[in-house]
Amino acid sequence: MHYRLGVEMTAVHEPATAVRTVTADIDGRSVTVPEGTSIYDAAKQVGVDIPVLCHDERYDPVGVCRMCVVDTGGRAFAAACVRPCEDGMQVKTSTPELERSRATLTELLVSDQPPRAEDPKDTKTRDNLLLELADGFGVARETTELPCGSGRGTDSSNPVIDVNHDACILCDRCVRACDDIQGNDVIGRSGKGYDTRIAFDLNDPMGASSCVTCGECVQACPTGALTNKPIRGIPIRPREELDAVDSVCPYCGVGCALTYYVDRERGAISFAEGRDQPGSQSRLCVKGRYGWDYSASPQRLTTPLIRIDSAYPKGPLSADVRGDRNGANDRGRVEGGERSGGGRKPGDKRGGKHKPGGLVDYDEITPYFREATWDEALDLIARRLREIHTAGGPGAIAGFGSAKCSNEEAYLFQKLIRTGFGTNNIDHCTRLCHASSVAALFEGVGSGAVSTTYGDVSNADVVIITGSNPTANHPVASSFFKQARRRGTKVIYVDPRASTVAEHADIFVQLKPGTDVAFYNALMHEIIRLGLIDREFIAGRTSNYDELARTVADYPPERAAQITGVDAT
Amino acid sequence: MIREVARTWGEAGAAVVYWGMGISQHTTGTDNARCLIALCSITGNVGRPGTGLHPLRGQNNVQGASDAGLIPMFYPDYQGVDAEQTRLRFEEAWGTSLDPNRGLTVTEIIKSVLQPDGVRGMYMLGENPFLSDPNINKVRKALSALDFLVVQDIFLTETAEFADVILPATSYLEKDGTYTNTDRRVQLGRKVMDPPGQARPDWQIVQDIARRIGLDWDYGSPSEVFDEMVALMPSYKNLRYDNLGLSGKLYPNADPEHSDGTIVMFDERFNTDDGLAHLVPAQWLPAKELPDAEYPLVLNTGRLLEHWHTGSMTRRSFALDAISPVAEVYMHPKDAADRGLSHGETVRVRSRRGTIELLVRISHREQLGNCFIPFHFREPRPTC
Repeated sequence: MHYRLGVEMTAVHEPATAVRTVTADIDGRSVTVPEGTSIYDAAKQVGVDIPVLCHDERYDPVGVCRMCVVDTGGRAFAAACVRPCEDGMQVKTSTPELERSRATLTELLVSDQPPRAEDPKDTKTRDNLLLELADGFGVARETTELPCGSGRGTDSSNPVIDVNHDACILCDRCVRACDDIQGNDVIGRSGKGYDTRIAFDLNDPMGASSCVTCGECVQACPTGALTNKPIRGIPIRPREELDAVDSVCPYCGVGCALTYYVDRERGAISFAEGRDQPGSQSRLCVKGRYGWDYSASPQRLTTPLIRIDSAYPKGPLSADVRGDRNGANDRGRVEGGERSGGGRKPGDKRGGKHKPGGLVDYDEITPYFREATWDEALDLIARRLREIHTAGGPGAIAGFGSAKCSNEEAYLFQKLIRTGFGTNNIDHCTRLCHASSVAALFEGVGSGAVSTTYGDVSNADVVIITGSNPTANHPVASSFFKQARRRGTKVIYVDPRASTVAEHADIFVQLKPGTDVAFYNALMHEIIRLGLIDREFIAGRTSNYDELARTVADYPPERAAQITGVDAT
Repeated sequence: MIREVARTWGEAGAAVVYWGMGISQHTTGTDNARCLIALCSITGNVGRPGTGLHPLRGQNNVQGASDAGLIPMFYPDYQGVDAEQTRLRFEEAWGTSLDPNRGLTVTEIIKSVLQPDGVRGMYMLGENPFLSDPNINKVRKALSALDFLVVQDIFLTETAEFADVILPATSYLEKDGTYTNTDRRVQLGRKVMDPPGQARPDWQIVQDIARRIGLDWDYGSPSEVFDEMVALMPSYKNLRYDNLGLSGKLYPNADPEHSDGTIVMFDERFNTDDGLAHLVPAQWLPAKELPDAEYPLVLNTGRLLEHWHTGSMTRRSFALDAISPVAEVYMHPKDAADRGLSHGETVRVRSRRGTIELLVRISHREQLGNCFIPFHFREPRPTC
């Protein structure tokens, strides 16, 4: 099989007209940039760093903090992050007057901050941008003569994010991270004047709001206003004291790039952070950013286990798996339970500690297994599988692999089953999810893989999202869908459930479950009737169009409306 | 509304479709996907930026595990096991004779265990069919009937209760390897910490078993395995373990040293033998099972943001379990009111396959006559 290499570019809607440029002078250096480029970006090009607080290149500039002000010879200083360069503009980024302005601004801000020893960021990752600026200007809350303290309070209602309103400088980075990057629209501002603070929904506690705990706001915050809480008592420490491991999130198919910061002394992850990669662009969701501590669970299997003789004939061991325990009031969460092989005897069941929410109850299973060495376990496996293979032939052996394992593990596992046991009885859970899609794709286009990326939605005029709940299942991909919509892509959501995606759709089609074929046939019926087909593409690049057209001719919108429950017009 | 959608799609300069399990997990799943392929094709919406077909992959490595050949009818890179030339090539590469017939699928394997001359011995690597398979009663019977079952995992699972031997594997965070995401991006996952106790990486365990049954494997690292598999996978051509870089590479990729890879496929021809997109018409058929007087509601299943599949990872995460600790059935306000149910109350949900108990959540997201139960929670087991 050979793939023709396709298109690699992403931007297509840029008009081909020449971009006008302007030439300005920044601190004596001449710089020519496209019209509309901010002074901040132009300065960066010629190696001039302008201090910022509210600005971050990931977000649209808002110019609220005034730290980046520069002298353009105008009546007032201009915020470099929002002010575009003009032809012939003379910019000074550092004068005694500008430095005085920045120092005063910094002192005003720092005077309202929590004491440094209690600053949530300084005591965790120690990268508080405001305190760094304050150090540079030689100002501090501890030495200022300005009145101190804002008394706007704290909010620890979210399990993994601390909010300290006193440390907030209202730079709106979190607002832009939440709205513009993740498209969650939870954070805004409430209050007036000195009492203004960031707010979640209608000024609800963060943990009670519609916040989805993606942590994008924490990654955005330059001060101690939004910080991660330690998970399982592992302190959050400065990055330079931790070991940074660049990896990929283990959860969904989006595969966001991230960095785990590892505390080697404690042998545990301190925190995780999004990392730049073309697909995920440093974004993460709650699972990737906060859901890595499962690996440190005391319930991990740590030694090979062999079933004891008295546990034969085989059958389910726990009441839940036997199916004779009924339900909701009788389930066990046994976090912190014994490790495998704990010395309990079969039948020695402990009751009464079940509560709603639960995982496999180790106490019900481990008594039926004994610890073994790797050699003993592997020898037994090889002997028994060979015996079964000899007695029953290749068809007597089968393997289930996993879509969570690596490519190398998947490859070796299928190679083991195929070459070691001479059978193709090897499969994994894709059978239960997208096998039907893959079958249709192979038949239709000759490849089961996607024809384009989720990020390519930014080049689409219209997108249909269907049978999918990406805000829950592929949260970072959904952030690109939401972002595309804000830039003009029309989102059509077709699904029996009004998941959160429906709130981000221009058209939400809530069809009855199992009526998709009728709906799409009606779309094609109508597209053909209106002459909106691409005749050239159909003629040159497809086969069997006539039969398709004959079939969908039987699906006028009125008929589909009866089947799908969706209005025809 | 149908007319409005048709016009909006038909008039678009570039239009793209993203779909999930709600398309594929139906008795008519393949027909559903055929319709989406046809819809894109007749409007010329494949092969250009901003157009195309994207089934959003669920697991982090569903694409890669399929690419690598964990499929009963395909060798790596979807090369058919029943094509003789292909088989001979793999026999040559692997130095042994291979089964010329397609193998059994997940559901067929479970069925086969309950038949004479069926599957007698199984090796399950990181899979928990007791929870993920649609029919739990059948799986219970089948797993009990196996002569020998090896379960390799990071936690005890329901499936492990039926095992003869349980092997402790490393978690994702304790090993190196490559993973292929939904975009076809092949990325490096790196070892973050040492495994607990005697847990070992899956690839090493598989190699140890291979050696014990007489195969002469001697892989020293995942990179050796990756480079061997890429040589057998035309789609992955040019990729090497050491040129994936920090952000991975999309395949196909003509020049990984300088290019991120191919975003848009099929810009000139499709991958079919004749290079054309094959339009396959589908007639609408009602679902195999429909509501009746005894079972008046439709049950939809799905995921929650905070949880993942059977919950073995997420429900052991402090943050995720704290945010979302309990299973609930989401009901339309009128459906709940008609049954005298109120928010937070415990109810019994009965299907044609089983009964569970869980809490009611009144939800404006459901259609009248539909309810929703997430499948992460072991105790209610909505798939049974």
